[in-house]
Amino acid sequence: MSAAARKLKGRALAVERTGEIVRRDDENWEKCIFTLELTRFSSRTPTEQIPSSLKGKKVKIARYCLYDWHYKLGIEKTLEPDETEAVLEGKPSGTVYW
Amino acid sequence: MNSKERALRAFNHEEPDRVPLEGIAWGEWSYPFLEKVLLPHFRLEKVTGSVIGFTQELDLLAKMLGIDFRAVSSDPPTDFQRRAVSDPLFHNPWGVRVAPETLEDEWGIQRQLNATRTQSRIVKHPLKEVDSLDEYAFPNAEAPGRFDTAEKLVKMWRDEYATSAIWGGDGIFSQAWYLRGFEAMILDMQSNPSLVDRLLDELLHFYVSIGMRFAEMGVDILCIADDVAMQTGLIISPRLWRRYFKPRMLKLVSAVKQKGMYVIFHSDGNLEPLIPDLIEIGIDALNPVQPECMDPVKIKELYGDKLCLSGTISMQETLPFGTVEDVRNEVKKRIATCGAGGGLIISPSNQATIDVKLENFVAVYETARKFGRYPTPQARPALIPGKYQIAF
Repeated sequence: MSAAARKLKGRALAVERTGEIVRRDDENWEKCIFTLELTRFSSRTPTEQIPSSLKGKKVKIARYCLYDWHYKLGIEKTLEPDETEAVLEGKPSGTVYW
Repeated sequence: MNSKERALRAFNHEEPDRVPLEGIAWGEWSYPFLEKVLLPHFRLEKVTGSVIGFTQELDLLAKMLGIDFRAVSSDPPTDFQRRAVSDPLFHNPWGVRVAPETLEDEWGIQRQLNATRTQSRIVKHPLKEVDSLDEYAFPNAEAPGRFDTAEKLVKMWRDEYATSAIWGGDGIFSQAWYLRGFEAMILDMQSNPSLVDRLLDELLHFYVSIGMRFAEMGVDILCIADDVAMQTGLIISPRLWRRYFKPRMLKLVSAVKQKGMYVIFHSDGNLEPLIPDLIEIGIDALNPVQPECMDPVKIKELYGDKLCLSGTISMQETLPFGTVEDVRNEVKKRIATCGAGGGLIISPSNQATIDVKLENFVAVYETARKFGRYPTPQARPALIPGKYQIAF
């Protein structure tokens, strides 16, 4: 992956535990939907500012969680590059939507 | 996700697949632990002392532990190396043997091993008696041979690992007093500022040249190791640090960051009063955040959106005196309280000394590799490859 790939960040406002479990090596990872309020691009995204139309926009991302600290709210989470591009293009994907 | 992306995501305050792991630089304090405990345990060959051989064994050890960083340093020039020996028990390993158990480095600083051969102390400060720096020949950062080894190692590692570089010694404050003597340096800062300014400018010139060469060869991170604090607070006042060191560090940090490098600042002890200044001049990460000296949770809460925390696992209490369960609990607690959102790198908070328990040291890495996994967008969570799993 290019180091310059664009990555949006958003503050985690809420988490919905879906109860959908993926078992892997004797561990139960639970699919969760985090609601994020978009804040900015990650610090090394080259010279770009988040479009004003997206700042504050609420999006949902799917993440698999295992430990208690995974559910922490109030922190900034980072969208993957493909999720970022999906948001920028206005096209929801399997792991990011609104 | 390879080690490089994992590590750099932490610097960018992004969540990687797991908390990146650092090894804390192997130096003279950790050499006995490395040679007598770690390498035999992992059935790696005995450390040979040759730079490349030493590095190959450390590289394999780092793979086994899951360490995501690889460190390189500059060396003395070739002509000095021909006259010198490299002895890892010394703070600066390269030196000419001038007396029993005593080496003189390329700056003219002489260090002597103590009776137990566990520490080297300075026995000669080359600028201690001088009134002027005119007669002193500062080393040439561009001298042939200084980067020969570093270039080979960076080429070998840069695609897979986050590479960090240090010039082969300490930061501006430390190197200045190594040259001048601690008491003289402290007095000079009050009574002879022109001499201090000249000395620090010469050091800055050397450090910027070195840093730019590292940037050109594709090193990711410049490490500035400059102990400005002790257990309970700063060694010098914030006022003096801001007068003499902050503006020079700003120049160094700005120069290498313009080339795309990240900068990590290492200082033992409690340097909390300087953290806002370090952020202001562009430091990306702080190491080792000794939990006996500063509360990592408080540092994370106050500065965690701007400063990546590196280290944080107790080297003064838990690793030498705790149980494996104590270590696991500390690592889990640190990840749970400081890991969410990224910006955390786990390692022992200093070089592992000979009194560290092997099983405790390994438990740091095992625990972080398991408990440090982040929430993941994939339905199949990315587990750490099992090839180097370590079990007791």
